[in-house]
Amino acid sequence: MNAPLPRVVLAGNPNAGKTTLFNALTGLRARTGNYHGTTVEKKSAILGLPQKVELIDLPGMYSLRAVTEDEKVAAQVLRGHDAKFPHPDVIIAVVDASNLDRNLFLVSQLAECGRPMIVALTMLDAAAGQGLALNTDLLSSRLGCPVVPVPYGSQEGADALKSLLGEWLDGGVGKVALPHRPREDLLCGAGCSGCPFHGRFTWSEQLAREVVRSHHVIKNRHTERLDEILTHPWLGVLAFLGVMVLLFSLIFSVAELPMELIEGLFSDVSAAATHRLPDNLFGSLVGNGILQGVGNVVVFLPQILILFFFLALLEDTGYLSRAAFVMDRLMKRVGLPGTAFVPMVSGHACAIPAIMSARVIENRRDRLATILVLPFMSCAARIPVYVILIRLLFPGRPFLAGLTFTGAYALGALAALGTAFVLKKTLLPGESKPLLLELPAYKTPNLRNAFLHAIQRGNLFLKQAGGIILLISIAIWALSTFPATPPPETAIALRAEAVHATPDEAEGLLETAKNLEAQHALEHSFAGRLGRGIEPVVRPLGYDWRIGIGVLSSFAAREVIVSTLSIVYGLGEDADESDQLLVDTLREVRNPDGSPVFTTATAWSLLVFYVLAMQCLPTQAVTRLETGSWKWAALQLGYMSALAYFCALVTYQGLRALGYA
Amino acid sequence: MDKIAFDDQQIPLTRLPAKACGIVTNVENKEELERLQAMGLCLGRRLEVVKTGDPLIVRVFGSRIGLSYRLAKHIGVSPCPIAPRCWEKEP
Repeated sequence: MNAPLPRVVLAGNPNAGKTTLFNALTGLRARTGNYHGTTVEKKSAILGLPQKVELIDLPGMYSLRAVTEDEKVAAQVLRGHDAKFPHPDVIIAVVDASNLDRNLFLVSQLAECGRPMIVALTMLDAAAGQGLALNTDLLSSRLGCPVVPVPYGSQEGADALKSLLGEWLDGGVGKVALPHRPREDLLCGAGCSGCPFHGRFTWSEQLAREVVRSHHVIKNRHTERLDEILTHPWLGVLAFLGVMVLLFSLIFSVAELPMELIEGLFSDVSAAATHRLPDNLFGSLVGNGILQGVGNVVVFLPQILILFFFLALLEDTGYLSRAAFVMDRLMKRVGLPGTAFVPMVSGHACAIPAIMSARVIENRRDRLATILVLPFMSCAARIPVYVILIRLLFPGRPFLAGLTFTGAYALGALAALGTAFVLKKTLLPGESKPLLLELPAYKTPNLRNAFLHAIQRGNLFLKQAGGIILLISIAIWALSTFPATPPPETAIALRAEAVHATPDEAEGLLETAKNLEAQHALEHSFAGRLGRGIEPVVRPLGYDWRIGIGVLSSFAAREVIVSTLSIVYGLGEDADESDQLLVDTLREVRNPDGSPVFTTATAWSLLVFYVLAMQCLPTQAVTRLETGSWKWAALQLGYMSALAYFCALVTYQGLRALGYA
Repeated sequence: MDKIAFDDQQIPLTRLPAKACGIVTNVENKEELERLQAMGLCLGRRLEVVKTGDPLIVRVFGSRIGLSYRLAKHIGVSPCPIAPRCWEKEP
């Protein structure tokens, strides 16, 4: 084994510009993962100075007296007591020059960690804008460690830091002088009996006053004016809803094109592969199992990238803490904090990035409750199902169709908020954690940061959830392919007939034969048998065994029901929700006794089921990832399915009793 | 948590009007004590109310902090005459 690399950590307050500095130092080399045994995100990169070192971006914190899970991990790393979190060789303290008092408070604690330290001064332009001039030499001599200015948006500071680190490592980090510890008597003055931090606060205030020469202090009018609107009890909520609607429609519209391209690309590649590959199991595995599976993973990327890009921009401006601020009063009625609202709204595009974005919620119970209810939000994958069922219910009546569409979204949101309320009363008891957060000064967001953040999130998803989703796709393929059955006699007859027919007729005959074979194969596969097996269970909801197969196959992904229904009703696999033929066929299909399968009651019951059911294994994989246990994913699957079943049952039986058979 | 018995000079933070200054004299919320302290809401610190309501905004130790009414009602302050920007002045 190689000797472990020297470790350099970046520590600082939230909003101090740590991430910007980390990105300036590392660029695309950053890796994201979790700290061992926790769900706290670890961002690190290997730097060549030219000596190799590991640079770790610690979670932001206000004090080493850790309170949140993130802060606890950061404190454990800095103290280095735990073998799981080996102590750092060098600490880089990231200090916001425009808010020196507060930042020096943490620096006083970092200085006590007994490690060589460098202070990186950020936000110098903001400080200059407020009329503050800093004496960095004085600060350096008071703290007993180098102070490196890191101007915003330039590589200079990062380079200076790198060369200083390089020198230290050359000479041996052990020989570097340690920073001065603030004098004990100073730290524990008169305030010691009350607040343990009082002396430390005073120490940092005094040091800040010493090194800052403020000629004429300019108040941050900008931030105050904006906050009058953005934190206003109702104007603020309106502004937030506006921002979210914009974000949400951006995800919807911007992601649509790359998603279609990806889907198109993978179905082309898979079709091409099926042509090239032998027409046997292997060919089917590669074409329909693996390639489609990879497509199922990659198709989520555009939404993930776009959501996290814009969320990072919003966070960088300082707006997200205002959003949490105004939503807190409303969200706390269902027992969730204001920070839960961003994931909730994002869930309407796709539950996967939304669950990943629930990391902004500090408290674990609040975060779990949010993750558990998020998949109730009507995501984009439900739209094809809604479209086809609503077209069945209200042909040629756009107003009623639109109303039902809206109703489906409302039902999902209502179910999410209701379940959150119940969860917070039962399984995850306790009021939401009371709001307490810094409202940083507004600033221009950094595009590069947002871009890198989105890339890191995309990477994390591919690395950690990609494999599971691929495996699930292959398992679903196997279930609907095995056991292989010989083609039905009708199809054989059609193929025989095609040999003697004109080319035009032959094409039609072969197409019909192919569809019959697909229908036959699916009916006799494990999935088909399961569908028949569960018929007694889904019968009370008004579904026949074919719909049963559709519902089962939807557990891989909801939209699959459209192509499954198309196959089981003999229309081949290429139908989509806009296909009038499919809608007409569904309206015409009959039970053995001659009654229609898709009655009004059945269609409503199916719609309610699809609004509420947990039918997305990729989401389950991400829930497992973000909660750290399959237990929560299983719970999510369990209660969502149960609720969906119950509500669909009530809908079907109720409508039947009213005469809508 | 029960109501705190405030003495003459001490009132709950929630009763301090906007733009007024106060010195923190009591923090009753034990659960959130450390979180409050780390943010600068600790005994003897000066703060200025920026915005009242729920949640409210105070300026303490150089930054603006948003906190919920539930927390603020357990923080006792004694109003102080120097205003505004009292949090910058020597105690």
